[in-house]
Amino acid sequence: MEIGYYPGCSLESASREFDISLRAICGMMNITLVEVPDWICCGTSPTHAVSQELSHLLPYKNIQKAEMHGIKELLIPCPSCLYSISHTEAACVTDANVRQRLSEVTGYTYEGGLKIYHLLDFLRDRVTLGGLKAMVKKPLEGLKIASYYGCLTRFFPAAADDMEQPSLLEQIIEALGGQPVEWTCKVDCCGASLSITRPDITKRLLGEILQSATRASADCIAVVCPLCQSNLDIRQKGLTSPSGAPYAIPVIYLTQLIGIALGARSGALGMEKLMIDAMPLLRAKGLL
Amino acid sequence: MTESSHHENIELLTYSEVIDVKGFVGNFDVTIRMRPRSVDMSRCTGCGDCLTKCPAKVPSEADQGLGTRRAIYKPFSNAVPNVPVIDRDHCIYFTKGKCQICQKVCKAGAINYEQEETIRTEKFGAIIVATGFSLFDISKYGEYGGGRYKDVITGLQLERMIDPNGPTGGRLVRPSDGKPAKSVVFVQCVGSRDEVKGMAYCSKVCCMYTAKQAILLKDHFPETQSYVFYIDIRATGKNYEEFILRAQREYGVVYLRGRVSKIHDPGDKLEVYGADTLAGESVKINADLVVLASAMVPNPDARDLARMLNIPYDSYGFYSEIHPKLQPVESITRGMFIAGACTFPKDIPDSVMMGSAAAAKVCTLFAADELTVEPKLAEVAVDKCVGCFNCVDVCPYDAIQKDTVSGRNVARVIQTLCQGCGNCASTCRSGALDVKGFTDKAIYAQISAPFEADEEEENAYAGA
Repeated sequence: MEIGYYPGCSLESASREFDISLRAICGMMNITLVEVPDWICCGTSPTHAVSQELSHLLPYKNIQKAEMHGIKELLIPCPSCLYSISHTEAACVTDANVRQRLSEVTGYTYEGGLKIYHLLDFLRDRVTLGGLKAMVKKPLEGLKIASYYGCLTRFFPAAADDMEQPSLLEQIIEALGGQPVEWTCKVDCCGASLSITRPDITKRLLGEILQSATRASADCIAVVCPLCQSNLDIRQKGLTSPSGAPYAIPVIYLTQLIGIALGARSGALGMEKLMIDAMPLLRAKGLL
Repeated sequence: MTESSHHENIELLTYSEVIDVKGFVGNFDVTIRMRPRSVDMSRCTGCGDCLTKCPAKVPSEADQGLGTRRAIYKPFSNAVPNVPVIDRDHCIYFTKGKCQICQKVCKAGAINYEQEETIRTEKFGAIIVATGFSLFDISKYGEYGGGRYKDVITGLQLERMIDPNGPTGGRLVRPSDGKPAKSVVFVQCVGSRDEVKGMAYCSKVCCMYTAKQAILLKDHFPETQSYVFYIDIRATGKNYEEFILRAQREYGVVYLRGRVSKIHDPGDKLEVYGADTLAGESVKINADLVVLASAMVPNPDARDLARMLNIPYDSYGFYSEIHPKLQPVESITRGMFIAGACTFPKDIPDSVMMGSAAAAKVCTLFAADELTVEPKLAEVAVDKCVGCFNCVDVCPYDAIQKDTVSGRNVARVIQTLCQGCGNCASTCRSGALDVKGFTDKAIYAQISAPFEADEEEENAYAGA
């Protein structure tokens, strides 16, 4: 299977391991990722605060680049990129004014029809849960996983079956043989956008998430967003539970967990790039 | 209810439903399906022995699923009539063919498994529809854990809980573990005033029953503390505002103006996150019990019933009156009246008022020897009618019937049903239908009259 791929800036820099592990598992699942050639920034949160037109223009250029390369289906693992690009894609289809303006500025007309996937609905609809299960070599047995959607994933109807109580990530974890825990914070905000301007708020939000995961006796947190991952991973240091114990819950990309279940080497999944080392946990569970 | 069951002029048909209505005012043919109760009403003494011995337990509908009932049951303790019914879907004898314990314990010999459904058709002069309402499904509010968290309940469930004859014997407990509830959070407008997830309208009764429940809780269980999250308080009724003030001042109910954003259930106490917009702060309350004021919505089968009765309904499924101000209890079908919450959410005083008004309207109708109708009725010119019957399709009152005159098919207007709307007159292609006093010819003449006058005036000016 071939699928277009838009990595976005996070997966090229701070969240390299998301990209590495995604490429690794796609290789193992016989999926060829066709990267959008010469892709540019999606614009994400900064542009729409400055100019609505620019916030449509940058994603539009990426759609143009993808289509000109013959891409009909596009996988966008980063929820922020997915949000801006699918937002513009939808605006082009529903709003004739937006479509006309963007084609005037770029000289390229998007006619609609590009299928955009989040990682979760890509796994469900294209790989399928049954297909994934069949490929598992090392089931994640005994690994208690808190599935964390974060704020953006929950708003994609395709990826989150229910905005308030989604369950797709849990279904995928079950297909991998892992044990999803019942916990309260799976769609709560991690506070990533305030982590520099108001770290006090971010710390409080992170504290609630980590406390809830601990209370549910989760071994690790599974994430699908680079911002959630870095925020939970980097800022965990220095946070303590109400009893004063420091937190040390590994925050692992879903793609890394899939890689482990498919039997990939930890080196091929970028596990060493996580701030909270997941290796001792995985070794203890006999998964490495 | 008990009084009406003994009244000589009232026949109460329980465990029955209207399945068809034909005819018109003064002449309704109503077909009623009487379901088999499996208990002989003439023999049963209402002793209740069978109710305690039946081994099959089913979640109780009247207790909103908080308690159980048996397969032979009365919906609630003082239900009318005081005769139980066997729920054949759950009865062990009806499902598996064995048991018959109720028959053994019944000293009056009233149990009759052989009873069959009977259908009867009777004539009635008028019909009052007062079918009530249902509650909005709280599971649509995933952020509140509706339907998932056991300690998140509806106002009606709390009402059952604080009833001494209810599922908990009047004790205020957490359904999850049976421990007493000390801290109770009420959330208003769950499904009401929410265009996205629920209904755009205000359910009208929740502000008041919530205040009542908060007061009752403090009265019965002084150690409870209640919090009410509201959008704004709608206490529009005699002594209503004063009642709210009493809840706030005398009973220490904490009113917080704002919405609840999410409820977490970490296992012990529920964590309620919300906004206090008057203080400009976000708040978090640890609650034993959360009570959602779920919206009043039409019954699931309201539309089917309306179609059968030929009553119009709005986009929600509430029944429409002829005129919201001047004819609030009449439906467009003459002799068919509507009352209570089937027309829109309303509280007890309003429902009583509407029921009384509908009854009075029926009395007025029946008191007269003749039916007075408006003179502007549709009329068929039989010689022009070609029998296409397009008029039958457009008549909202079912007032046009097919008739035969000297071997020709023609339309006939039933004068008691016609309301003179004129739909048929404008639809009739052969010009056979006209509303009396409003013939096409008369209307054209009226339209052209002013222009003729203008011409005369212009000529007069020109001459001057």
